[in-house]
Amino acid sequence: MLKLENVSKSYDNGKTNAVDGISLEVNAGEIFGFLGPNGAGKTTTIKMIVGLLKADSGSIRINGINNSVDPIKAKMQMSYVPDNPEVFEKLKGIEYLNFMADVYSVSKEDRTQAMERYLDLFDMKKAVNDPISSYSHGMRQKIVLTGALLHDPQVFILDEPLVGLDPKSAFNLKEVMRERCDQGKCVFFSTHVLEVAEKICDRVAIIDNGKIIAQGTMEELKGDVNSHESLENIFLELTER
Amino acid sequence: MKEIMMLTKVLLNANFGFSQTLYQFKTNRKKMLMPVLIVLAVVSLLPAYYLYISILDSVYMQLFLLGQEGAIFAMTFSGVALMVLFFGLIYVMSTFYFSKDMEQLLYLPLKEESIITAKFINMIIYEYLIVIPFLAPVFVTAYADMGGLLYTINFIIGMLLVPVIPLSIAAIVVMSIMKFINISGKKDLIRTISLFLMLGVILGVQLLINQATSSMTPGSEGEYLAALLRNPNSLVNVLGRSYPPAIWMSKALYQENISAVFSMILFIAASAVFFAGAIFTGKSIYIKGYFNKNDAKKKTTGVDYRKGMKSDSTWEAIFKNDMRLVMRTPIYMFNCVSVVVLIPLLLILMPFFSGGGDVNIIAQLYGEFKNVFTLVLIGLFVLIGATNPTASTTFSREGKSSWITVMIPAKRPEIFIGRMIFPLILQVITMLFILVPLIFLLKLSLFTALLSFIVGLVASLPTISFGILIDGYRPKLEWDDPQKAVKQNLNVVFSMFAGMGFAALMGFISILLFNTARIGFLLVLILVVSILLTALIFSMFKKLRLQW
Repeated sequence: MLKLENVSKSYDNGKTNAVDGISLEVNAGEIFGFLGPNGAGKTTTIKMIVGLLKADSGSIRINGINNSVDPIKAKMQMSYVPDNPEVFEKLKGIEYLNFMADVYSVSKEDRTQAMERYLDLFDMKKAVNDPISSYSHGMRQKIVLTGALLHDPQVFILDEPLVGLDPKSAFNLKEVMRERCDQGKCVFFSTHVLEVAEKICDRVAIIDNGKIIAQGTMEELKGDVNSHESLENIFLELTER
Repeated sequence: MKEIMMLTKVLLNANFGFSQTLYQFKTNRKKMLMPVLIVLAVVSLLPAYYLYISILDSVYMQLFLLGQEGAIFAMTFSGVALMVLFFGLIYVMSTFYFSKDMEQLLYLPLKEESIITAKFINMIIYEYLIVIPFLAPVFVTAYADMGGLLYTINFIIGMLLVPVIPLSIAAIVVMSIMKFINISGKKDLIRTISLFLMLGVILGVQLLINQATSSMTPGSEGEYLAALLRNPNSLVNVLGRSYPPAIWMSKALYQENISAVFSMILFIAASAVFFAGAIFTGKSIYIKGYFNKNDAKKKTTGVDYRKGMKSDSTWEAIFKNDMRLVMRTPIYMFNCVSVVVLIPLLLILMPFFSGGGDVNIIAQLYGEFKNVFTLVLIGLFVLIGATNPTASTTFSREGKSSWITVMIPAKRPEIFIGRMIFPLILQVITMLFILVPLIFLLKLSLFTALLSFIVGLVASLPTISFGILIDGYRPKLEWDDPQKAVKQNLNVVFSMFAGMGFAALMGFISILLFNTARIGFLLVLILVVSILLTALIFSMFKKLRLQW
């Protein structure tokens, strides 16, 4: 459902390779974890997938649609939750949600139903009529999450989604991710929290210095390094090679 | 002391952005355009500055003739102090209550008074940007008569200390008021009120000057000034007298040795007392109040969100979002919306109120040259549209939230239309605010009004769409204060020049063809060129890469 082929991105007129020819594929029904140390290229990759950055080369397909050929159609297939939930502060939560529903053409009935569900799940019903400027970091993240789920995207992309969420919301988010995959959609997210990745991901990729250095199911990764170690050990071993 | 020096240095660097500018100079030369333009802007102020210096010289001459040349110091020092006080009130508010750096400082092992002192010294240094340009010429003007070592030393110390007392007063006043207001949630209101107060004062001064100059017969400015100074109740004298430090400063400069030194010591002592007072107030009221503010519990309204739920099309959603952002951010509202009323007010009402007699002349001119008048009105509308920053900051205003605009599946025409509507509404309102008074004041015919309205609106389309194009091409998204998205945004300047260029071009063509072509032809020509240009700009916008 999400396919990256030889995607590269460099900064400073080609002097710094942020992402260097990476390829990966996320299948329907999969939760895919994207791991790597700080500055490895995770956020750059995600930004290229969602259309915030243009890849220098390679192709990115979302649900079969090339995001540089038909960006609008590709964007309709997915939604994105950034690591730092900066949203229009002056809007009320509900106004932001309606804006997102409008641009993704969600009908009045569908949006009411989706809002009902996710606002309840993330415990945001009482705050949704307040300006976003009065929200805490976690609340902002929850309003962005809700906004991203309104149009029931096929491909759900999240950058460090669990940072700043309270335990209950984090648990609920993980449930939502799993449920979406059970429905045949897919989830792609980056994280530093290796325990989470180990527990909920069907497959992971580890990126370091812009290159994917390992990819596969947890078992495959363990096989890669010939051991039965935890993901943490595998990660440390691979990124410090 | 070491702590204060260190903090002052860090805050200065952060506020002026020295390190950032240096970094940009090393890594990205393109971003150096801004400092270069600031230099150019300063250079463009030189004629006004020259005027100030010549007025200063002539006032000094008048005073000299009256044998009161020492009063120049009382006047300028008290004037500058008043200016510092006025800007200080707003500045204290933004430094102590709106800036976010307190949160980064309060948890560090620093004394509270060090933080306040460092912030205060920062404000003083900032005020030098106003103080030094105003006072330096005074030093030169009076040097020939009073110059000497003591004069030089006293002047420099006085100039460096002059912001201390007014800023201390501003700090004490603001902090005392703020003690009783819980600013969380009211920041926007306070900002809006202070912006409009400032504007009110500027307009008031403008009106006073206009009235004063219009009551003066040409050539008698010198006498007028002399009368103003002789009059014991004139503003400058009252100011000088009611502000003793200015008198001390003035004595320190024009008197002889011992008495000069004595006056100077008095001035320094007064500054020190006020400074200590401000720091004490800061420590006892401000810091406590700051913690109170953070203790305030956030309330949720819990209103049922399902009421009035409706779905909009994408362009409608973008338009509403754009409008809400402007209307709810005081600085945007002030710059984008209030000008809609203020520009017509300044253009039409001020000259009529202060001048008086010109109305009939203009009405007569209108009667004789209706066609020219229609064209002039259209040109005026284009120029006014060009000065409004709403279109040329549409993407910039979103700042760090701009990822949403890039990520959403909105088609280019939807984005373009969604962002055109609000600037257009503002343009329509501005035009009405100009046309309606003119209909009454100049007996403008409805036909002229309607014609200039329609053609004027269409002719504003290229400029407004150009604003959106340029801001889509190079938005200013990195800012910590929304003010920077509008006030420090070059796109506003580019768009203004584009509008002026377009108005000038159409004006030039109209003048060329005026005698040979009929007015109808000219108007149609303007309409056609405007529509074609807008279409061209739109097609460029469609090709633009909206990825920042």
